[in-house]
Amino acid sequence: MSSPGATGANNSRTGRDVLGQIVNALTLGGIYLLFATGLTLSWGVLDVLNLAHGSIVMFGAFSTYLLLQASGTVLALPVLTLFAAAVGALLSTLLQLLVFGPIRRRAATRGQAELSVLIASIGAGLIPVAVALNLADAEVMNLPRETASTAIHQLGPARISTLQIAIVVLALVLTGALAWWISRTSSGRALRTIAFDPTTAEQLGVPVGRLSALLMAISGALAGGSGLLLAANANAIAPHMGDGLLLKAFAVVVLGGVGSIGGAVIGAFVLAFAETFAVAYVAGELRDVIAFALILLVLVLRPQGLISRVSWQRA
Amino acid sequence: MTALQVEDIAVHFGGVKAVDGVSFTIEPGCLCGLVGPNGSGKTTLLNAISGLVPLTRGRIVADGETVSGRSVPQIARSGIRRTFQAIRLVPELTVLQNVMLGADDGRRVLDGLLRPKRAARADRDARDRALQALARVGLEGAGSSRPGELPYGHQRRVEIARALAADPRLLLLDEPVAGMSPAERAEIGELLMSLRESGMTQLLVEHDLRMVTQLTDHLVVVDFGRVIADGEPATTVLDDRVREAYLGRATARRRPAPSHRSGGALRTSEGS
Amino acid sequence: MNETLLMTGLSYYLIGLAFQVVLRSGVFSLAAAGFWGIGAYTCALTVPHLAWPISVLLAVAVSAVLAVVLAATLGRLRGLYLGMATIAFDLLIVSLAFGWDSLTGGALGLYGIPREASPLMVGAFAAVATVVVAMVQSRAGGRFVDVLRTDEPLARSLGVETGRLRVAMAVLSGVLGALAGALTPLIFGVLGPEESGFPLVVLGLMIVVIGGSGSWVGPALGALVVTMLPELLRFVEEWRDVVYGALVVVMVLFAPSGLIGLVKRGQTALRRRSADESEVMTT
Repeated sequence: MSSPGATGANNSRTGRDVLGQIVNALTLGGIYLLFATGLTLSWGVLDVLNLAHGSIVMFGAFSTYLLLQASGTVLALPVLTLFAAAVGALLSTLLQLLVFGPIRRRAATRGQAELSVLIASIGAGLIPVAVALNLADAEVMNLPRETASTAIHQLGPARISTLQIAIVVLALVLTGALAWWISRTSSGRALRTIAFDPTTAEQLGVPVGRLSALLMAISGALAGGSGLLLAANANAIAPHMGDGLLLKAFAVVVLGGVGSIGGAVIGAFVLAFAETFAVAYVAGELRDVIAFALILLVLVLRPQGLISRVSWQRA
Repeated sequence: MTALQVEDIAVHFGGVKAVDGVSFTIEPGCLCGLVGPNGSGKTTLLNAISGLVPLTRGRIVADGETVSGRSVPQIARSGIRRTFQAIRLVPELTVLQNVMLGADDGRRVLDGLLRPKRAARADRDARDRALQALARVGLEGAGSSRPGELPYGHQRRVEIARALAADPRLLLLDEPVAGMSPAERAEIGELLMSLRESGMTQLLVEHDLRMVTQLTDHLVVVDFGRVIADGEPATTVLDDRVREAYLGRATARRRPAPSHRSGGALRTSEGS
Repeated sequence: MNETLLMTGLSYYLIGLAFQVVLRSGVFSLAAAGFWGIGAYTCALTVPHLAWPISVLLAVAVSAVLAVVLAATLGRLRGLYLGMATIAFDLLIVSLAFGWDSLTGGALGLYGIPREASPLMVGAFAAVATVVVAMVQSRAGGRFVDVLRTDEPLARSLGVETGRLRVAMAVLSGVLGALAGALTPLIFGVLGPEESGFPLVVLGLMIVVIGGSGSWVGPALGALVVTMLPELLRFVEEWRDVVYGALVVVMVLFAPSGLIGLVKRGQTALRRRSADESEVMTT
């Protein structure tokens, strides 16, 4: 299974330097943040727990692989990231328009809507994985060396690559922009109204359908883009890489509180650091157990997460 | 022994004092009314008695047993049953099955598997009680229908039947005639009176002051989470504080209280 | 009929039952898939050393204990939070199955497992499971789970110990999943780590979505359909998962109560139409 960060510029197998691990953890945190933000937003605003999210992350990466194979040319990483984001956005928007939206409209109660959407998303999530399994020519694929290679800088005793810097910066900038958009603009306020109650929002003239689609598009774009960055950082694309990531995304969302972007930032880096240091200094098998343990701990002790979901209720 | 004793209870939600020091007593067999303007705390009071909200202070005693602090299922099983403002029946079950739920023992969730013979007996028992309860509310033939197929007034009666099937010692009714026509209200009123005649102790939360004053033998009026009047219905509604609470101080002062018999001013002003 | 196909169908039925139990009671637990894995590996690892009935019972017992612990831990969760936590549990089991090489054989899994299963044996387990589920959901038990699903606070106001009921349903679901898991390596002789996890959740949900979640009959119907599907879908061999996924989506969208729900809707429509017609004729 993929182990993001393990093959980054500071290989945990060769270096026990703390600074190097910190760089790894920061990069990992950035990636986790990118793909968890979409999940926490769709859950917090639309009551959609999209379990196809992991598959979309994977397919973002995989589609760029297909693109590279088809075009035969070497494309720069930023271009590929945009392409992956576009694919992710497309898939998520289709899901929202064709599946989640209609289900929620037809459901009798909120509980029914949640469950139906959950089940449908599990079914839908199988499709990209199956496609990838069929079209893939290897169990694990790599991006071409020219694309994946990146400049490495010396930062004191540690080494950090441009890619790693880009990931962290991108993650923080994008989520910051999203947080600003949601809290400061009228569309953001409209989203909060939808989170409070979609019917009320509809009556108030909010274009619920369009905004929901937009939100899912953003969620998908973040997912797809993060998939490619993850693939580039780990230099591996595997059809099943999405499932394990979903577990991590859950942990981030639960730690930070459903619907909270600020919480996602905290959750992503807490998880990344906990994982990186546990794996480096205790045992490699602990990686996924940490995510699960954190989920259980938070859910049992403080179900609303470290930062409460309350903010969404104040429409 | 009194059927229900509410002893200086308070229910605070964060900063809001929904109930702030309420005490009253209900005698067995009484049809007691609980009224008050919107936001007075009467629904919260009912929720406190049935255990849905915790008490910040005070005690609730039913038939000599303290019920406050127990869980909702425990309180229900101790004989305190209620209806809700919105009708809550299970749409996929038949009317009879819905009413049988009132008679089922909610502790025995696995009896079907672990004690099949007892479960069979309990089921027959529940069915008998449910049929009796349905007859009691005048809906003998409705057992095999689905709740959704019945008119609103009948659904309300099914809810009452479900409470009756539990053979409760205290029946709490939360605005049972909301949204009903005058004819339907009269029917429900008659049902409650006949229940009183058979000895049932009831606490009725209602908006319809006329109906409440005619039906009940004891009236408690609350406002801002406190009891402002408590006693015989006809005199209580004429109490100055009660009139002020409903009409506002200026109007209450302008319109003098009518004579004891007619109770006119309140009838015209409330009109609902 | 092919013996393996029959036994596969019966094990699908058990998985479907596992999901029916929780879905009918409104408990959002999808942990049956994880317990399938626990049951499967417990049985596969002990069968070379113990008689197969003991292995199966051990697998079920271990899962029952773990299911109680899990249900108690997650007891306060509802809705999507519970769904998510139980999926996390399933994913963790898959992860352990892949990662704990020394125990589970890692990505390669286990093989050479004695194929002790026979249609009679699997059928017997399925029959027992059916009786258990039918009895649990009979009489008051059925009313309790229906009211729990519809309106939990109402159930509590009726004196139902909903906490106890939720745990019971979650544990029963886990046990059924574990039973299905324990039997599978005995049917095929091999066990791989990728078998539990999402595809299994989809399988279980698909069976209930197709057949209906009202009683054990739904999973029986659903398992029948799902077992036949690979035959019908022989021409789309590698794309089977795509069809499964799409099927689930379509069913959730257009027939949420499954085939049984469609039949019932058809009956109601027919009843109403003939009532309307007779009204027209008499006026």
